[in-house]
Amino acid sequence: MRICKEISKRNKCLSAGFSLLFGLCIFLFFASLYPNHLFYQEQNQLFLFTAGYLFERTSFPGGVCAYMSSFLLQFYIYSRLGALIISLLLVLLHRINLYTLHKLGVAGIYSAVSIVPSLLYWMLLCDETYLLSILIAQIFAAAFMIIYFNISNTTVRIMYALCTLIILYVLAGGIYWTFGAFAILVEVLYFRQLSKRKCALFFIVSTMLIIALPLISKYILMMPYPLRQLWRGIGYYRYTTAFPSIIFAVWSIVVCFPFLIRYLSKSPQNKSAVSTILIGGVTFIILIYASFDKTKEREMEYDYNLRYNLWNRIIKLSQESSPVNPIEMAIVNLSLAQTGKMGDKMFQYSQNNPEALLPPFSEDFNIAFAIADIYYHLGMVNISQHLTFEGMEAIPDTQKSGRAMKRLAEISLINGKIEIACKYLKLLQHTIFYRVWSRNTLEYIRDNKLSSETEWEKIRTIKPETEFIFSGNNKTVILQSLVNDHPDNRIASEYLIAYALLNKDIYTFTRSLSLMEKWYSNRIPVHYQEALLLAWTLDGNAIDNIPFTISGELTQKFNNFIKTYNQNPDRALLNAFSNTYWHYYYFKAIK
Amino acid sequence: MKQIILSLILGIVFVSCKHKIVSTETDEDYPHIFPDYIGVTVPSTLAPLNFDINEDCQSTTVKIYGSKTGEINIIARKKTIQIPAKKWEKLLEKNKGGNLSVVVSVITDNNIERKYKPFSIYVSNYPIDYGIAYRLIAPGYSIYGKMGIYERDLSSFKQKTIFENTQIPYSCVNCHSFNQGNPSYLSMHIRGAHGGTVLKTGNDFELLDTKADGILSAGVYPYWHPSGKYIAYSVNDTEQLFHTVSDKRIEVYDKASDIYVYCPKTNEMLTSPLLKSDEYFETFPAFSPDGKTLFFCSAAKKNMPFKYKDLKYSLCSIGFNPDDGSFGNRIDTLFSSHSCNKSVSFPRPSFDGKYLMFTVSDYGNFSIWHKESDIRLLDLQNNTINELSEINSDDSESYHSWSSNSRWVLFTSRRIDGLYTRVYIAGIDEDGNVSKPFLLPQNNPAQYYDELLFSYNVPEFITKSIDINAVGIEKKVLSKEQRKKIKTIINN
Repeated sequence: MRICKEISKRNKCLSAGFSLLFGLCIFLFFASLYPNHLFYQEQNQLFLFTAGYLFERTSFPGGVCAYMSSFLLQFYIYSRLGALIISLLLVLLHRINLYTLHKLGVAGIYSAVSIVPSLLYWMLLCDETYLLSILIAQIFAAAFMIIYFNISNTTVRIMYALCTLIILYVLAGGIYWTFGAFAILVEVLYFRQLSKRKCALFFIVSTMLIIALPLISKYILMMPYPLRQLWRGIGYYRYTTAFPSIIFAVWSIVVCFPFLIRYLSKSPQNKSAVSTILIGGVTFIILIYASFDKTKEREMEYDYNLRYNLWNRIIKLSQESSPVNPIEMAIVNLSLAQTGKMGDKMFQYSQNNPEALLPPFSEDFNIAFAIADIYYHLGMVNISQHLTFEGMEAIPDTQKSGRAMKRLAEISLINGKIEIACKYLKLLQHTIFYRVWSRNTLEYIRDNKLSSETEWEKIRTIKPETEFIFSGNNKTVILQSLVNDHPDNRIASEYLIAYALLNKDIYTFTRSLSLMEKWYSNRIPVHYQEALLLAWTLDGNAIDNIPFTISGELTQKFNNFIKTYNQNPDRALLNAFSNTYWHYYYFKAIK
Repeated sequence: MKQIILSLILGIVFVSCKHKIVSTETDEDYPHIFPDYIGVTVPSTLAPLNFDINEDCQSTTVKIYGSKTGEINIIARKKTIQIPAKKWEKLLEKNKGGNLSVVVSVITDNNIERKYKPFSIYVSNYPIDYGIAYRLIAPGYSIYGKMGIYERDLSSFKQKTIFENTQIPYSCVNCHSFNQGNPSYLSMHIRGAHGGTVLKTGNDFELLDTKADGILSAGVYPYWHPSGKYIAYSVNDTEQLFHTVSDKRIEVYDKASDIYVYCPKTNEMLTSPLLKSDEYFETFPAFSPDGKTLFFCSAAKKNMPFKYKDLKYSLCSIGFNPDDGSFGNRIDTLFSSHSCNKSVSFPRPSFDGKYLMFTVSDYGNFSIWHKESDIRLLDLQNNTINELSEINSDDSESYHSWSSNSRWVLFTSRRIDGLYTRVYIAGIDEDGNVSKPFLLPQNNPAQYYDELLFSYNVPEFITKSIDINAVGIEKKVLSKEQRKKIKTIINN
């Protein structure tokens, strides 16, 4: 007896240790390898402690899970908190499944398989388009299944199952049918108390209820959603019209796997449980590795650093791995301009075209906020406001955005639109993490101390005064206008010159170069020297007569470039010059 | 014994909650309340005019006295004054044609009782329609998230969903129009991949593709003929520009526009060379209540977008014969853009035929984005213009609609915060005198309007609740079924 107790105690400790280890792995994964995915989730929603928000979020089947998901997602503003939340939820799901396996008589090494559902959801959550509500909905369904196991009276159990289907549909949405399927499997394979006739009746009634609930929602309660969404579930996936079939696969696996494991664990032929589990474990690790999207994580890291004006971190990141898309390049270019390195460093990156400075408008909410921030720092607050608003409206699941709302409030203040700023600020007071900022800002407004906020004051002093209509085709004119309105707008000056260089517009470059004199005293930045050398020789002048201070080393380098180019204008031979403006000028086709 | 103890506890709680007033003072000013309901005229079937008092206080006492009979007393421990609906309904009914005197007093944080100057709310004898219908949409640029068309019963705070774009994801629903407030006649556009125009005449609805060959676009701004036999649409080639200076955001303009009249019975589009001139932009059609005149806005064509500030619309009209769908052979100008250097949009004749209300702005026709835009009233009998100082503000006033008895007008305004459009309603008597407008009442108005991130768009009076088969529309829109095409275009 004592030995049994000790074994049981040891097993409990082992089990708890295993869960702890599992949770730690999840935490480390999200906190260390995937923090920017968490920030991304946070910025694409705005949880409000208001009755209106509660009503709106819970007004569809599964709304309670969606509301809980939004509540928890706000904590993702701190990646460690977000990682902790995910790890706790996945461990909770694992423990519920462990309980289920124990109820089905699965013990020993097979218990380790209880992490399978959690691993599947871990895999899903690596994709930023899946929302936390899908995991919460699964936990709800699994928790209701536990209760089902513990009801010994058959009639009560059946009634409970039918009621739970309705409750689960209301609370968790489209996942509800998995509970019905599980209950039928439990009746047939575990309890075995129902006669064949009663079992068939239970199956028919459950199926009818499963079919009826979305139809009732649609045709009686008149819920304004397509029937297929009421079937599949709302709020699990960010894009409302899509619903990847992998979700159905995961749900089906979660329902069936306890019975499969039960069968395997009882099968006398199976002698290699450990090796089977090991193979399964390795497979899952490979699947999670495959789900780990390093490219997106880096994109999101650029965006996060931009959001918080972490210019040096952006430059450091770009040195570790070169920017690979126009938005990353645009963020790096802004950081170079902010840190005064544009003229010396910009062609050390693979610049592709002028849009890497001022990206075109995009209806993609993933990049709209980043583009908006670039225009904001240039002083073009109306364009930034436009992009921020559009970005927020473009969030596919019609959520608002904390990041966008904050920026809209700031822009309204910079534009002197105090009433509208107050509207956004009052709204942000209904949040946890923007409350202090909004309260302080409202106090600034009340005490007329807005000018003490240096960034707003800086932007206010550089925003355009000359009215012009913004279009994607007149960016040189726009930048010129910004500089004309405020010659102290260094970012705009840097951009005007850089834009001319990227456009291979030597005339505008040489005409604008004098703008930089006050910031680069006694020297000309390297890339500007390169462009000057090129401009001078393109006009047929001898290098020796160039009326600018050009370093001798650079002149020699330019001579080498021209010599090599004239002998054989092969790009491969000139790769040694890839970090010069000359290389860009001769080899990059402007897209 | 238990009852005695309970009574004692309640008594102690009551006594401890009562404020010890140290002094009483009388304020010569009206209380600062939101919404500003001081001196407004309301219909006798309006929902309670709940309001918030903009002052930090421990409690507020509001006493509402009817000039004929009745009173309501409210003591509130919060800033929001919520008037009991039943008592309010009775008070309004009994004081029809009279007024209500509202006495507000507060107990300040330092236990001073402050009594404000009483203000009046006038109760009109004129009835108002059942409710209003409107679209709720974020005041954005070109991308839209959630939006929908809703109706609001004016006698309560109930809002009912008519159609939301969640039913047809990523679609846009807009330009709902009813025949003189009768929602049995409905035109509503659904834009997007599954677009079409929903046209409801009586109990049936059909889904139209109003973009016929040779027409600039699908139908845009609709207006029903009073007979219900026709519906006028403008067709517009519209674009947007974005301003970079702080006071302006968007410029929405037409590069071309014409006017057509659709006849549902024959499935024909009717027009006149005078309504689709190459030299003019014609838009915003509206039939006169007798159905024999079509009002519209017209501007001489300009090189857009470069001359967008020079594009000014005049208010014009052309004859229309409902018997054969033919148009007159001349255009009359009722309000010339040249004479006042303004541009006209949204002409809306009153249904008694006496007046025509329209919006004026400095240029263009998308007045909601023009801070200077105001509403004007043209007396069609003596051709005089009322500048409506009672209802205009420093911010933009734009869309407007008449009640079916022409004694109430609603209009949209951005006066609260300069961006989010809200609905105001004003009374107008037979002589054209306009009363101070009131903001659409809400149960908790300050909180509601603070938290609402939607603008009210195209509000229209409705005489009864809208009966629409939203599921049927969704099914039809999402089906691959061909939209009903316009048969012919007839130039009369």
